[in-house]
Amino acid sequence: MKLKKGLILSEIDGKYVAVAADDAGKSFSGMMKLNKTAAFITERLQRQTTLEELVEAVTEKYDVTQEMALQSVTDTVEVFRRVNLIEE
Amino acid sequence: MKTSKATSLEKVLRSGEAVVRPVSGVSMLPMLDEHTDAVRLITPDREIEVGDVVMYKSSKNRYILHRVCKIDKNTLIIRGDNCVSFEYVLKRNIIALMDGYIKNGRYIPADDVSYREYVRKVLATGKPLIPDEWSYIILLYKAAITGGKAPPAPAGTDWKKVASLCERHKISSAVATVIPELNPPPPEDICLRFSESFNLSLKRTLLFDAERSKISSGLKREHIRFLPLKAIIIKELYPKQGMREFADNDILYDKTRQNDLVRIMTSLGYKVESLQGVHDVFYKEPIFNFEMHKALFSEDLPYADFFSDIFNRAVSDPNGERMSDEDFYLHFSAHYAKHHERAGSGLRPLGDLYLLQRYNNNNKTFNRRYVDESLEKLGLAEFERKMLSVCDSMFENGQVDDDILRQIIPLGVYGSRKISAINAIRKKGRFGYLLSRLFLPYRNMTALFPILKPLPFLLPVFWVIRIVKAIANSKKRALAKEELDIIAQKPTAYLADK
Repeated sequence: MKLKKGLILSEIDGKYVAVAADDAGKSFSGMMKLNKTAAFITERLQRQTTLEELVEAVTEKYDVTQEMALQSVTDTVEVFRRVNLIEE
Repeated sequence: MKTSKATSLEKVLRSGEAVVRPVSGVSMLPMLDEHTDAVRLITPDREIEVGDVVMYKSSKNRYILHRVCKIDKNTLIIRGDNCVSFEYVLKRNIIALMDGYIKNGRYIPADDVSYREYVRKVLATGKPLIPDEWSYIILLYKAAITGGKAPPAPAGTDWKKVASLCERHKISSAVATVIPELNPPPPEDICLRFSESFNLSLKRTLLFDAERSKISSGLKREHIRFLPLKAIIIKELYPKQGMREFADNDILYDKTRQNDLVRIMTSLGYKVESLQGVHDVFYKEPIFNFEMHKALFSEDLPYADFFSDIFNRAVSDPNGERMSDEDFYLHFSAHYAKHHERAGSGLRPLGDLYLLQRYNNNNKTFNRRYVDESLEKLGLAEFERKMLSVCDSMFENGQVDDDILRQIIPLGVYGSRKISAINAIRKKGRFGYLLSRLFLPYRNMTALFPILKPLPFLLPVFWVIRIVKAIANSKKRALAKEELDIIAQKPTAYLADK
């Protein structure tokens, strides 16, 4: 899976926001505020990846258990899926 | 303030009864608002005194309701609270005395203590009163721009008014950054309104930045020279991203490459809105409006020559090229002056100017001498001095002279077509103004229709084409109607007296 093309992720004053243009803009016209982990996952989702790869990347980066990483990944992917921003 | 006409009004009053009437007009603001308020009138049952609100019939047979400011034997010297000039009325011509009014559904008798305090203030000031909200907006904007702390709102602040004024001046997203720190906080719906403005502006900023980088890449790939203008540069001077609102992005490009530009823009999904005039307009859903300038000013403006060789003075930049800081400042000043003189301007350019000036002052290599000489040459030295002094009082002291506030605050960021039209009507008369708007001079017409340049004898044909085009376009039609209404109307007392 990956995010539709056109999601713009920015760091502003230590906080992360995402807005959508192009293809992604057709599905989502709002703005999302993300925490650090969600921003990291979003960054990874810009290219083709799998749930397993994401969990592994989060575990490595943040020194958390697999369960916690899986929770963060599924939460973030679910948010994007709900607004139709994920391509399978 | 004019009350609505009624033939029976005087009869009822003469019979000794009180009359309650809605009000119309703006001349008694801030006390009487025509949308919500009414007055209670009686036949004067005592000597008229200074401070009374009285009604008389004007020479045009209209009922006027204003306040007595002075009494000279049998003559009353009268002024609307929101007017600057006086009327002279004989005592015997007074038809009615206001003995109370209804404001927002509440009846306030003329001897009410806080009303008497208001009257005292109006008489002491001798000029239209500045609503507290106006001064407070300056304090909020100052805190946002300078990174300071905003003071709490004065008691009784009308937050809806504060929010609408900020929106009209396009400073909501800047002010939004200081709203969360206010103690006590504004009502919840107001906080939400500000934070929505900020989020929208931030979203636009991010989207436009991404879009502009695609356009820039296209231009660079094709070796088309270009310089980013106005908001693209200015927004970076604001303390936080998203604080500087903007409607579109402006870029100056090498006009000999128009065909290539059109190809690049259409390949990026843009629709050509216009290729005439001083800038080409491209639009892409949902929000992207790019004005691609062929020149910085149209030829009929005195600044055009100075900037005509701006590409020769450009400096290189990690992103390509840009105007030097000095030329950018000069262009900003000339552009500001153009808007200010034509239609007034709002608070936002003052924030821009303050931040630009601060940035330049911190830049040791900034050539102030070149700027001063150029401003003098452009006839802008006086304008710049005046605006810098407004900036100084606004952002250093948080206080602005009442007369300047009165000029700037009621208009909003794009000033008002009304001010522009009224200024011109005063110079040319109504008919003269109408003619001048319908039949633009050859120079302006060639800016709109470059094809006309070698064919001046076709000017009358293009006058007709312009009018037909305006009628066909709903947006322009609405603007034209608004302007015609202004021509037909009598300017309000306050504006006429300015």
